[in-house]
Amino acid sequence: MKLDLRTRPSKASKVYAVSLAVLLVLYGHAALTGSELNDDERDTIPSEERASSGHSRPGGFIYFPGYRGGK
Amino acid sequence: MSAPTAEPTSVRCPACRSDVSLDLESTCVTVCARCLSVLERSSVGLRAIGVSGKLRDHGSKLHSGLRLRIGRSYVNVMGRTQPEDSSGNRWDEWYVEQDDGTWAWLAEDQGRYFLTEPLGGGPTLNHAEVESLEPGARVMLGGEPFTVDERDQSVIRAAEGQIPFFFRLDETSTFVDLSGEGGRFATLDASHDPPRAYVGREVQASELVFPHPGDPTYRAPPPTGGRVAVEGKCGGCAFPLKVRVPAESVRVFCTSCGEAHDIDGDAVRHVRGVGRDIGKRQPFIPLGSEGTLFGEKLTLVGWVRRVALTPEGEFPWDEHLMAVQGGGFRWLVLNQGTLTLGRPIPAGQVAPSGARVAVQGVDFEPFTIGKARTERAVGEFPWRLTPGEVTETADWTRPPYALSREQHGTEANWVLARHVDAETFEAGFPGRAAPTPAGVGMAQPFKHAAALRVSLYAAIVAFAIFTAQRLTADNRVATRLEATIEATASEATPQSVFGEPFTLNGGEAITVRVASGVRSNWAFVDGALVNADTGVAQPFGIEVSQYSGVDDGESWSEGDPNGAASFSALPPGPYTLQLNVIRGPERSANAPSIALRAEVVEGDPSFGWPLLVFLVIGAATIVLLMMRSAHDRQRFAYSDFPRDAS
Repeated sequence: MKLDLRTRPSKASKVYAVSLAVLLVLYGHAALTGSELNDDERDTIPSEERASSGHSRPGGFIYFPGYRGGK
Repeated sequence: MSAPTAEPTSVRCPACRSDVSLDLESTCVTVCARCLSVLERSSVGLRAIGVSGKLRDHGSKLHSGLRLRIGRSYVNVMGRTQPEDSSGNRWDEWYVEQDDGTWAWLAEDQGRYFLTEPLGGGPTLNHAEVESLEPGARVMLGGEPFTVDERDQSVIRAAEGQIPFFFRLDETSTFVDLSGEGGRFATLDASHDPPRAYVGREVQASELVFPHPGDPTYRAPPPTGGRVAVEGKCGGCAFPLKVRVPAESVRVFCTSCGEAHDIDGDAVRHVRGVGRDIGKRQPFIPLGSEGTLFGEKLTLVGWVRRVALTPEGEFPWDEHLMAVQGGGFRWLVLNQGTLTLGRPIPAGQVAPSGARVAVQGVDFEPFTIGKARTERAVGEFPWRLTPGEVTETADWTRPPYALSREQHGTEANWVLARHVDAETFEAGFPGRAAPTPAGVGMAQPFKHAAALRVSLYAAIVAFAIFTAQRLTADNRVATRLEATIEATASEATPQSVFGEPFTLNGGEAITVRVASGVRSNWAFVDGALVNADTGVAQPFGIEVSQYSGVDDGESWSEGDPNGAASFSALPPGPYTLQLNVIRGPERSANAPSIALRAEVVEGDPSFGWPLLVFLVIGAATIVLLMMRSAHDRQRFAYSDFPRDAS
């Protein structure tokens, strides 16, 4: 008789394995695409405002989307 | 297949004048098939030396005259003897002629086969040496190491066909069975002078290739497989007795009163003063229950209650003898509500290593050592089981296996058992409920062991991702910005700073690093990377501060004048870095302004993802290890080698 040290995985082990697999897939995807956790939400400035002098977002910061360098 | 090598030679039986076979020059004894006279070849012809007893039907597929293949070699079965050991166990010794004209011995015992040949090179051990061998002793035979399984006495009760050595019926002699690594097997036979050694190996039943039914040597095996149930009545209480494997069982205990009876063929004889009252004690499943475990069809034929004798008291457990369809027995052991199924293994398969032992290279750690007493029994057994008998026991464990050694007198038996979980038992014995566990079994594996392996594999994968990402990251400084933040940059009037346009390649995480040089002050950088084409802005905020001083003669400092913010990759294109900076009021007149440097790095991923992944894996692994530690402490709770609290 050949010794077989394997045992039947518990249901909790299967759930854990699937959970870790999902986590690793997310991590791998993040590594490939350069994604980070907890990004601040991006702010899309309406095109009609880009040419204006500034765009205000909550918090009071004013972007200058039309700024392309220089003083 | 070819015909047997020797030309059949017939001579007359001196007792009944029937034809008897004497095919081979090397045949020493032949048995008359008609009158069962055992005829010895002598210088004056055949001489009757006795009459063979009745052969016990073990349901063997072998028979005299059969030609079969064992592995790659063909053999002719010429005859057999049926020796019986001191416990009443009787087995078949088949004598086979090999195609090179030599003899070999094929022993068949409880579903196992052992093929041996006489060891050449003269005597190996003398009688005194054979008689002194104890179980576990190491012996070199033909330059090969063997371990003694048992030393016992046997007597030949019956014989048939042609036999290649001289013997006397009912004459007791000593034999020693030995085993070695890789299924090697040997026997020392002290019925000869000097004792003879036979060396060979255990042969798997699947290696025996029987002829096609059309072959002239073929004979259909007994349809009953030697297992016609014998029925009778208990000599103590007249309760019906049923012997399910009479070919192998030698003692049966009444299921009602526990009285013992010896079995001899179809006869059942009451043995007074051996059995013990069983009261209401019964096996947890009834005798005769049939099921399948680990691929073997099993029938419960015997139950025995045993107790471990320890300084702390007596601890009972139950052993259930299961007859295997096709031959042999297994032990279904019930201890603390957990089950194991054990099978005998030869001592030669066990390699001792200090207190530990190894089987097939797998290390087993010691568990218990002591003595055990057989309390009471019901059902049948292939040896003369005697309640009250005390044996020396030792157990080792390596879940899901347990290894047990029992020694009684000059016989030691090793049993390798596997844990049977409730699900497996109930699937194998439909309609029978598994016992309720009252603890953790000796061979019971940690049920989340697979999760620990998953943790290990996941950590390896996560580390590989982390390493690959770090090695392939650009880590490119896309732009740098330097500015002086005046003391007037307050919350009401933040100071805006704009960097020169730069290009991001996209696809990699972005990090903005700020070095502020603040001293005993703070600053907050509210910034954004703004795509000059699309107007999409990625905001970020970085707070920096640094304070230091001297209190009670001890200098101190806190905070970090440098900071960073990371965010996901941005689409490729032209960008500008725009900052609004506020700061605390300047307390030192010597340094009214703050030198601020900022840089945007593409391909410098933060540790957010790896920290999260390793935190999850690490926390789960720690919990699993604590659970496994608790499991092992419970498992070793009644061990003679308890685990400490670590």
